[in-house]
Amino acid sequence: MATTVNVYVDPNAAGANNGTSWANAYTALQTAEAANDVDITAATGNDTIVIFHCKSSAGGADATASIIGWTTSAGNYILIQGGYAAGETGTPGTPEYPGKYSTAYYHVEETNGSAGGVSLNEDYFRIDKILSQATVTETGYGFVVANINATNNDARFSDCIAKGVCSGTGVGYGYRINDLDVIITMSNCIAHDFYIEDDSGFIGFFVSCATANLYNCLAYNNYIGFRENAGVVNIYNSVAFNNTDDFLGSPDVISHCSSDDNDTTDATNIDETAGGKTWADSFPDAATGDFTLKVGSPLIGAGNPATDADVSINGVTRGDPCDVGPWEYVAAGGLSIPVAMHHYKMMRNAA
Amino acid sequence: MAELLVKNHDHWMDALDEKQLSAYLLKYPKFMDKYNARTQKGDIIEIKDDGHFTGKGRGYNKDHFDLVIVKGKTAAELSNLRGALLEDAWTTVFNEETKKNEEIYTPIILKKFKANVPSYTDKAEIVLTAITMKVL
Repeated sequence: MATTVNVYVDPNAAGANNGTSWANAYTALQTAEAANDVDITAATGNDTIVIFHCKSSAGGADATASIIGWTTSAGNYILIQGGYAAGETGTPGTPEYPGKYSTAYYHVEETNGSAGGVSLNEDYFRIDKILSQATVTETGYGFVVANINATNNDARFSDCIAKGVCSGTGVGYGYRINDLDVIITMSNCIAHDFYIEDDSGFIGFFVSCATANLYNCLAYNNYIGFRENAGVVNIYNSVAFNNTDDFLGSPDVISHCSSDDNDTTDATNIDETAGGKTWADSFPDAATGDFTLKVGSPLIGAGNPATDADVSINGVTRGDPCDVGPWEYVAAGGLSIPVAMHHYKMMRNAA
Repeated sequence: MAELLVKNHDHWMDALDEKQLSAYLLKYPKFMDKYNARTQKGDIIEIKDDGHFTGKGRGYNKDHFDLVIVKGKTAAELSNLRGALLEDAWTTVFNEETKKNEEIYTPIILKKFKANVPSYTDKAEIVLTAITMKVL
């Protein structure tokens, strides 16, 4: 049974900088990583799962971090966990659901970070609720996955947000999944604002992999929303809108997705423009990075629960029906549609 | 002045003998890339301004790092010493819009850290010439 090693990271910490608690957290993920990079597999006797718990207690940003130099396995992986509130004091405490890019939570900010805000180069990792802002005037990426070694690897992203601040020309991706061996699962991930006019070098999700399954992801205001380059790429219950090109390449599956330029060419495509509506009717605050679904959106209840992310980016357990995109609609009063449906069915059955 | 956190010991991969290294290579086909990119003793891990690691109540993990000081410089002025050494690489992609192949820039990590302080006798003050930049 693997032992969990908890390591704390807070760019605003003012303690011993040894990662043993929030008070003594490392002030950089890269330093925390460099102090712990070993072969953590059971075969070496280490047999650990290493969790980097990350928060930003006073709004400070972290800089780029490259995760490389370990050996991992299915039972011995690295987890980079964000989402903790600024005032979290628990050990480790309970992550919240940021849902949008916010400096109130752990976030990485990098300018022209060619290596990526967070660069993941290990076979078994999970990264949850990490926010990465890439300021790009030449080359920069929110997240990079590369250098995968094992054929049976397992890379998982959940509730992560890549935000672009782009100018000039060059290359800027929210997620650069760039290893033909990687088997990756992405749930509720968002890429927005990787956009320069007439520059196809700016992409929300660039996917070159062995297998990628994307569930309830969202690409907004990128030159290209989702770009498949190689491998088996399956995209479910996801949304692409206000991109110059929503989907480029040939994803193997695009199911129950929404594209405002009807790019999905799939019978399960959800037409956001039905009834004379536009994407702005579903996401009126998209320009601020807020992708909360609004009442009346055709994306509400239009997802396929067989291929969804089980819990939404706002912490709602999805039911049947489920919504398309990272967010699950929550009606005024706090009940999501699936929960309300569940209550309705219970009442009906009881009657 | 700037405070530099420097790795104070070898990486675990440095302890691998030839037989062990071969075993890793057999199990992980691209292990050599990772091996070559490993952290080295003297690598500059983190760069902060005066007092970040030495202020009241502050510290650093002495099991893994040394603290060396560069006087007369701020962390921002030394920011070019931070991060990985990258090798230029391009991936060929077919653009279905233009019906043409195109090369897109996808650099790879050659060394996890690009700047290194090979030796220091006085941690309280090193000069910039004591720092070496790794090369491709």
